[in-house]
Formats: sequence, C-alpha cells, structure tokens
Amino acid sequence: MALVSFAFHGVLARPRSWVVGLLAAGSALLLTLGVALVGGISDGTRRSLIESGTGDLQLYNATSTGTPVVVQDSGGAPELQPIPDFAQVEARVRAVDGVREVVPLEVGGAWVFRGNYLDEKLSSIRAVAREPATAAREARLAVLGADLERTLRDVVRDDGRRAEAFAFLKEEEAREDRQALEAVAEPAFWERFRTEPLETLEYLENRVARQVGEGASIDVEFLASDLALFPRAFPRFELVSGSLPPPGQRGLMLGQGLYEQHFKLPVAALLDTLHRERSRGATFAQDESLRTVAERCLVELPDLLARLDAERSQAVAQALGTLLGHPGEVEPLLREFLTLDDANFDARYQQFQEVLAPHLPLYRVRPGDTLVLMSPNGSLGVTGVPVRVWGTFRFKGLGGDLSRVNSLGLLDLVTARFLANRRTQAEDDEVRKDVEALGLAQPMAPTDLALQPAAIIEVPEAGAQEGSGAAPPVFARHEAFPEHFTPETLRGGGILQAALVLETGADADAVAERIDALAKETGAPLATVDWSEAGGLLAGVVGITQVVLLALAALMSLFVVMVSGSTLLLLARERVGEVGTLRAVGMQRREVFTVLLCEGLLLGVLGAGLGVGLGVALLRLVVGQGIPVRDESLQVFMGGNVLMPQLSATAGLVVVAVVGAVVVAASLVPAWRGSAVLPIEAMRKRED
Amino acid sequence: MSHFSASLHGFAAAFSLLLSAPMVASAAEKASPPTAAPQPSAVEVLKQIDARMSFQSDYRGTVRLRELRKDGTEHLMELEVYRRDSSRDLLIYVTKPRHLAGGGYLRIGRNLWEYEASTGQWQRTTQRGNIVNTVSCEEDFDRSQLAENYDVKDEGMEVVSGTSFRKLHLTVKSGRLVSFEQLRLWVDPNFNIVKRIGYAPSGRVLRSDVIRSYQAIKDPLAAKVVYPYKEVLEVEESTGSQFTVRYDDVVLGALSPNMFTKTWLEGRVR
Repeated sequence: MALVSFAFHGVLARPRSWVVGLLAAGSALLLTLGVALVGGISDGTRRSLIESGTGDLQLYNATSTGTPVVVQDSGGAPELQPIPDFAQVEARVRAVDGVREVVPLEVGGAWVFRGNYLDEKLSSIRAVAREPATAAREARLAVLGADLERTLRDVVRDDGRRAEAFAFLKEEEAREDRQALEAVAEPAFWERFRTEPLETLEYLENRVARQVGEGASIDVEFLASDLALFPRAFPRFELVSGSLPPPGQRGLMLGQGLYEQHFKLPVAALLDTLHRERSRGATFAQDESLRTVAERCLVELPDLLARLDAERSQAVAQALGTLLGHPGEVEPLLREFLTLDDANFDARYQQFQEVLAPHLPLYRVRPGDTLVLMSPNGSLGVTGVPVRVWGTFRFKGLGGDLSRVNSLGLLDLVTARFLANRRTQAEDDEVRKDVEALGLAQPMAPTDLALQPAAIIEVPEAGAQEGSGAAPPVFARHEAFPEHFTPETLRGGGILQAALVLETGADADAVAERIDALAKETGAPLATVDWSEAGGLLAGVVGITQVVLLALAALMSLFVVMVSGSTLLLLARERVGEVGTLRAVGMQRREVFTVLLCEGLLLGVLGAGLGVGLGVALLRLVVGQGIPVRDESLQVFMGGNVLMPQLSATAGLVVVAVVGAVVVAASLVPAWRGSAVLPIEAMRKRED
Repeated sequence: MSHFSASLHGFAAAFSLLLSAPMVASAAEKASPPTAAPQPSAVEVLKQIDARMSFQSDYRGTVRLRELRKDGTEHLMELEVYRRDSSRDLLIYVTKPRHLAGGGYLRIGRNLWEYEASTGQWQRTTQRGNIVNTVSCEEDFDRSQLAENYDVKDEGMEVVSGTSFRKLHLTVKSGRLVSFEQLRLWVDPNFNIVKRIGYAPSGRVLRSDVIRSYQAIKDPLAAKVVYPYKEVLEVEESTGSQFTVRYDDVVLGALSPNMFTKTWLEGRVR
C-alpha cells in the first residue's frame, strides 16, 4: 500500500509524466469509438441477415458435405443432403423452447434469357400467327404487321451502327445481311406476310433479327421457400407490386432491385443511373463515365422505338413536341430529348418520369407474365422451368434497390426443385427402365478404355427416298412442370435447409444446443449454423471490419509503447538522486522497481479510464440517435438506414485493461533501469 | 461458365462424336493392312480423315446418351438429330427425359435457336464463341476440320495386343476457336480414330473418348460407303461422369426441305 502511495505522489509531483496518461486516454478514446462502431456494424449485419431470410439459425442435414448459406458466394450453392422426413423434423423443432418459426428454404441460381428487341417482337407476333385463322386473328396480324414494317424501317436506318457492331462479318455474310434488309423493305414482302405469316416471320427471325444483337442473359439468384410462411416469418418483407402467389401455386417474386436493374426499359434504367450518380455529385463535365452512360441512352434508342406500337409512338411524339417546343417524328425528337448535359438533365429526367413514362412500356415483365428460368442440368444441357411472375418485393430499410438482398428472386420450393433437377423415385425408376431396355446399363470397366481396333457394323442401305427411316415422334403437349402443388408436395420433395426464427430474447446458442440434444435423442442427422456462417460474403464483411480494428489497435499500441517508454526513461534518468536516497534509507531494488511500475499502471489505467469515459460521453451526446447512413449500398451492413454504435460494459473494461497493460509494458524497461541505481552513485551525483 | 456453353455442353458431347469422321471404305478396310506400305504423314492422316468426314446426303439418327455420375445417379437423354451439311442446317429435338421432350435446338445458317416445348419459347443463342470463359461449341455442329484447325505432330506407334495404333498430337492453330486446344488421337490401321483425349491449354486432361464401333453406311448421293460412329464411351475428368453414347437408326437420304424450320419443330408437340 505504501508503495502505491509512493507511486501516486511520484506521478503528482511530475506533470511531465502525465503525457503518458494523456496518450493512454487518446488511445482509449479512439479504441472505444472503434469498438462501438464495429459492434454496431456487426449487430446491424446480424439483424439485416436474420430479418431477411437467414433467421437466427439454419437447420440442415448433418451428413451434408457443405454447410447452408443464404447469401451465396461465387461458388454457388453448397452441397446439401435433404433433411430426412422434414415434416416430422419441422414439428419437433417447432416445439423446441425458444423457436418461433421454422421456414424451409433452398438457395440457388438460374438465368433468364432475353432476346434482342426484334426477337421479342417477332415472338409475340408468332404467337398470334399460330392461332387458328379467325377474323380477329387477321385483324390483329394486320395491325402487328404494319407496326413491324415501321420498326424495320428504323432498323434499316440504324444500318451504320449495325455495320460497326458486326464488323467481324465476312464479306459474303455482310452481303447476305444487306440483301435481307433490302428484301424486307419491298412492298411484296409485306404482301407475302399477309398470306404466309409464319414463313415470312421465319425469314425475319433468321435473316434480319440476328442483325440487331444477340440478346442477353439475366442471372437470377434466388431464395426459395414456402411463400405463404416466408413474409410472416420475416417482417422486413414488403410487397411492392402485384401479390404473393396463392397457396398451392408456383410463382416467382422479383426483388425490386433486380426488377429495376434488369427488367426495366434500358433507356429508363440508364436515366436512373445518371440521376443517382449526379445526386452523388458527379457531373457530365467532369465524369467521362457519365457521358458514356448518356451516349448509351442514344444507342438503346432503337430498342425503345421497337417497343412502341403506333398508338404509343404517336403519344410520345406529341408529348415530346410539347416539351421541346416543336413538332416532329418520334425518333429525331427522342434523340434530341436524350442528348443530355448538366444544364438540362434534371429537368429532362423529371419530364421523362412525369410526361413520357406513362406512354412507355416501362418494364419488360409485368406481374402475370411467365418467365422461363434456366438452370444447368449436369452434362445434359439445360432445364428450362416456366414460372409466373406474381409481383415484386423489397426488404424494408435494407439498402433500397441497390442492395444485394433486394436483388434476389423469391421462389416457391417446388420450382426450385424442378430447377435443381431433383427427381422423384418414379422418375428414377423410369430412367432405370429405359436404360435397361436400351441395353445401356453396363457401367464402364477400366478395360473399356484400352486401345483396340474399332468394330464395324454393317447397316443395310435405306434408299434415298425422302422421309426414310422411322417417322419423327410427335408428343402430346403435357405439363412437364405442373402449375399447382399440394402441401405434401411442397415439403415432401426434399428440403435442404430451414431458417429458424427465434422468440424475442431467446439465446441462439442455447437453442442450437437443444437441437443437438434433440438430434441425439431422435437419431435424426440435424445440425445448425448461425447467421455469421449462413450470411456468407455479407457476414464476412463483419470479420473484415474486426480485423481492421485489431490492426489499428496493434499499430496504436506500438506507438504508445514507444512514446511512453521513451518519456518514462527520460524521467527515470532525472530521478537518480531520489532513487539513491530511497536505496540509502533501506529500500530494496525490487521495491523501487514496483513503485516505478505502479506509476506506469496508474498513468495507464487512469488515462484509459478517462478515454473510455470521454468515448462514452461522445457516443451519448453526438450519436445518441445513431449515425444516419445515406449510402444505400452500406445499409445492409448497418441493419437499416441508421447505424447504432454498440458498446457493452465488458467492451469498455477490456479497452481499459488493454491500454493499461500496454502502458505497463512500456514502463518495464524504464522501471528496471531506474531501479538499478546504487546509493553511492546517487551521493556522488549529488556532490557533483 | 457461360450459359451458352453450359446449355450446349451435353449436346456438344454427342455432336463432337456425331459429326466426326465417317470413314470412306478403303482397300485396307477389308484386308489386313500391308505392312510394307509407306506410312502417310501425320498431316496426310488428318486430311484423309477430314476428306472422309463429309457425306453429301442428309443425315437423320437417334442419339442415346447415358450418363453415370460420380454420385451414382443415372441419366438418359435421347435426341433425334437431323443434319444437312450442304447448308449447315441442324435440328435436334429431345425425346427423353419426358419433361424436356419436344424441346430442342435448331441451327439455320448463322442462327442457333433453343426451343422450350412446354412454353413454346424460342431463344436465340450466341453466334460466336467470343464470350469470356466460353469454349466455342460451334465446331461441334460442323464437319470435323482437323487439318484446318490443328497443327499435328507424329508421336509414333503404340502396339497393343499385336495391333499398331498411330498416335498423333494436335495443337490448335492460332485464331481458330475449338473446344480442345490440344488433342491426342490414336488411329487404328484402318484409319478409324479409336481413342481421343482433349486437353486444356495447360495440358490438363478434360475428356477422354474411346470409339468402340463405327457403322458402315452407303451415302446415296456420293455413291460411297461412309463410317459414322456407332458407340462411344467418354469420361469427363472434371465431374468424373461416364458417358455411353450410341447412334441408332442412322439414315442417309434426302430430308424434307421444311424440316429445318421453327414451324416444323413446333409441330412435334400437339
């Protein structure tokens, strides 16, 4: 005790040593703020993920090679085994203390193919042409034909751009293309269209439509679930347009972000991009990227024109005439309107939204339309599953339309199963039967791959008459992917993972232990992972912020050690006389060392305490209501549009302990050197 | 992997075989090869193979492709194939598995279409293998052009059970788009390719094929016998899948001119 009091007086008597305390206070203040922010990000990300589909825990089959994720990384979905007898497991897990909801899930990826604008137009005309001949069909075909003729005139006009895009064509191919364009400009071609619509359409599809581009794929990362249960379990889910599919019916909900970015008219989506960038302070004058986007608006003009029928085209021309102050054709007017710069953009953007958008087919897909989702089927090509789009959705407050979680598709589990090509037992049996009937049932043996001369099998001559051989098979149209399903089908076709949503206040670790106990008791192969694992890449960001904080703390500690160490060493040299006197009156070296070390400890702990106190006060006063997050792309990590820093008492104490320990470590050398003074030396120094 | 290559991948397996090396009957075919005859050069062998690959008549056949995956699951695909080399037209439609039946692929000149039967939706797929990370599948739909696409190096003879097989190593010529940058072929004394290994540019093995048998068919237009494949075994290295591909009911003869149209394929589904 006496030693501590000595130390205390020693600190008070030397204001220069307070520098060390202030250094400790500054470090502790910075660390406190850092720990609180990282805590806030961690908690925000946790809440975002838990509330947008991950749940507190993910339940899966323990025998799987992978672990479940809800946010996929570039490797795609992990390999999971179906949970055996899911209906029973679901009932048992639901009864576990702390579990509020068990939501079956599946994650995966698919793509939607989008032809070029002519492909899309021709395909809708083809659908009409294939209907049985009636007066109504003739009338519709006549209107569509006239509209198509007008569109093709625009394509011909766009010849210059096409030549640039297809510069790789051989001379003969380019000549063929030009001839095709000339042919469709002839009135005779349109005469033929009226009498032989399918043949002329095929000519257009193969000879002309190819010339305006190759179309594109849109990747759709999806989360599949029981769509009646999902919105109930995850309250951040909100419907933006349309409705949820009725129970027992397959369907797709598009995330609003996905819808805005990939299913919107290209010109409108580009204008949105420009608007967003300019609201962040970018300008046409200074940013080349903005000018490039503006140029792309003009490049996408033929696409926009092709989507306007005669009526819409007229309405747009009229509206543009009023806006630009002079009448004209729709194409030059649009070109003028979309020639953008800093002076006119804001007004034009507003006019586009308010005046033009009502006349435009703003989205390529609307609730009620059917999309074909494609997924790879191993080495056997592709499975295309038609599914109806019922509407669009968003997870509230998680970064708007640029957020990852709002760029997903939400599917029913049955469609996901079709896409994953998981077969029923009946289908497996059918394949087995066919393979055996065809004599293809032998698995390959290593000797099969040994070199041996090829056998030659003589085939009798079939003759050269047309249609020789068996007649091509014709199929009755059947529903390969039924539209409706029963509740048993929904949960009966192999559930790979389920999100567990817990009661408020329930401890996830405790629930996970209860589920482990349940698995042991029933023998079911059940396991769980928490949000930090199921959150994949998004959860990984939390880890990155923690690493950055640690690195910062390590650098700061090094700085504190060096500055404190040298300050204390300087002070120790000044105290030779004092220490010598203490040694002369009988104080042991060990005791002197302890006194000097205690001084360091006092400075460190008091300084750190002061710093943490200041940090807490700052957090209370300045960010009491949280830090508003305007950047939408960050909101998902903040748990919404406000970041609430999180500082627990334990974290505060840890900061004090760490900073105190660093200062004590910095005091070790000065204390050891300072205590190594012999009384005789001190006396000599006095006499000098 | 691009969707295009993914979508054509399975068919590519069938086509690379389907469109390869029908052989012209040679004198050597019936008798054992003369031992003292001078060996043709490696380039000659390729040219000879390429020259024999073109039949002038239209082609129709049923391709049955059985896949045994590493996990023990078994898959079967049955395709009806129609080809007209003179105009590079090609039509394939799926007859098994049932949920894909009626769908297929149609190549008309420079267009390649995929057809989804249950919705009646046509999709244009890309014309050029110029997408990042894609392997061009275009060649899988064409006559073999070994001599045009590859430089060849002779690797001597490999003798197995008394039969000598000519071993050739092929490296793609610059500017050519092919599925396999390098190939190794084993050719039997009757000029049948009996084994083929496709390599990545790094030299990693991608696929090994063994051609067990050919069928001898008279091409009425060319008035000669050609030798398309009958049965082929394949091992795909990356997935460990084993394939048995069989070409049944092959007929060389004129097909209806309306066959290579969307309307014809749409008519396969009532």
